[in-house]
Amino acid sequence: MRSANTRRRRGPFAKGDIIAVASGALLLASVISWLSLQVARNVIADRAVAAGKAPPAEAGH
Amino acid sequence: MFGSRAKRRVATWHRWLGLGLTVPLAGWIVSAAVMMLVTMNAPNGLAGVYKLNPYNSADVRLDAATVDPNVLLGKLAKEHGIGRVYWLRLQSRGPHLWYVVKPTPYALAMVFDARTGSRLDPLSDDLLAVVAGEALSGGRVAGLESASEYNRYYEADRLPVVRATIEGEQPARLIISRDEGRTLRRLNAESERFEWWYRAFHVNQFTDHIAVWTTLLYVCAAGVITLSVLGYMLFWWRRPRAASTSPAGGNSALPLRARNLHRKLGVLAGGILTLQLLVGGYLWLSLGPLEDPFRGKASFSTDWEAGFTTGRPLASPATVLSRASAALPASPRPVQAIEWRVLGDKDVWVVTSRMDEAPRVFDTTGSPLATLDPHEAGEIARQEVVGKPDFVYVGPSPQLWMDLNRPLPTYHFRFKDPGETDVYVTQSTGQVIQRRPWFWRMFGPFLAVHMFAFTGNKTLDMILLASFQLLVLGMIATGWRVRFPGKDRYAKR
Repeated sequence: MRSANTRRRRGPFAKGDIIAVASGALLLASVISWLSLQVARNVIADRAVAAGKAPPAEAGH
Repeated sequence: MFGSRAKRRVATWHRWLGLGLTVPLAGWIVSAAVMMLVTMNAPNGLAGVYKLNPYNSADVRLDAATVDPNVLLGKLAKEHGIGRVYWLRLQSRGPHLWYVVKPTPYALAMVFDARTGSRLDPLSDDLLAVVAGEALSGGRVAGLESASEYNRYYEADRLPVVRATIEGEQPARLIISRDEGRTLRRLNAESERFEWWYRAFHVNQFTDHIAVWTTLLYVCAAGVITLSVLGYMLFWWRRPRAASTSPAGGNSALPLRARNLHRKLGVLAGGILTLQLLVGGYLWLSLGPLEDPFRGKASFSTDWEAGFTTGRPLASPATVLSRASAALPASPRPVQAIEWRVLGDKDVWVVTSRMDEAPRVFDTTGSPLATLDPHEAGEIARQEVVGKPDFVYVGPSPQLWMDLNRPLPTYHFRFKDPGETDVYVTQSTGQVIQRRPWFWRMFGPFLAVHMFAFTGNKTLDMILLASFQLLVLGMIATGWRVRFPGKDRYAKR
């Protein structure tokens, strides 16, 4: 009973954890969004090269 | 869904996985930092900058070859059952004169003594020492070590090579093929350090048994992903009680600050770490177990029939030299190599005056040939692509040619083979020097994520990467601190 009361008073996360949770989620979402965008741009550019509509992107690895 | 016993079990698994995977995880982080620092200011990246030796150490005229090229072709047909070759080259190496035969574009070469006709390949250490000693300007051989090497240009999985240690003006290690003494790779101090850290601590490849080490690598990566997921589960279950409050039970003795920091670092960096491991796993799939299709080997034609037959008459070296000499630049040293080739339906001679420059191409009258027409180059390349499919000419493009360690002007084609391979063909010699299938072309964004190359600003990207690495190292350190609190444990009691 005491524990449930304590939980309600404190909210879903312990004090201070909320910043870490929000930052972690924001970081992960940013990186996944960036990767998805780059992959999409890469695919579109690659198709454009085959169609003769764009110069190829040069890279080496 | 999870009872207290299951939660305790998750905590135990998280603890032991964390302890057990500390070495590979710390190895990945530290090696990434070292590799980034090693290559940060390296001019021309891992390829390095080298001054190649323009001439052989001994002046040997190519017309001193006593074995006629037609006699050699007859020998190939009669003794080796070879009816067609890609090219035939006569070259001097130190005091030696060699014929090098390339049976197909992707086969190992065969080498014959141009004075006796005897077969020399696989080349002995003595001959390879001559080759290695002449490769770099001002270099001398300090040692040779036999090894095997993957190379994108050959259908063989592993090539027999020597790793030659070069001392002198340009200390380096050269990876030289045993078939014809071709330099496959050059390693300077930076690239050698990079390779050591990469192989030992980043992809954990300690021998050539790729299947074994890749399994171990992926088991470790899966373990760290599991560790991360379990960590998030524990964080969620324990979210209402931060480490500042002592839960009932044995945890009261643990250093609370470390535990608090560990859960915060974990929730901050765990997601990115998991994503990096998934991306890294995909990258290693390309550079390791699936390197053949990644490097375009799946596009090698299996029914190649270009080149010329061993019954085709070839001009003698003396004829080639006399006809081509007028168009060659004045040189104090003899011509270094002559290559007999067929480009499309034309017999040509590819003549090398200096080994540090691209060769010149002549027709059989001794007239220098201008660059190939793109369509002509595309047709030559089509013979070397599986299924001889249609292609689209994309445009001109410079591409690195490892033999000269510099970019050469090429034509870029996109072929309609199963791998949708981009093929780059040198504009002068019609040589395919690069294949980049669709699989390869999709690699870039994943590599950029793995290297934290988000902004294009090297310094900022380095700061982002270093921050992430510090977070993960902090997570490891605090995890150990939580598990082994040392004197704090007793102080609390």
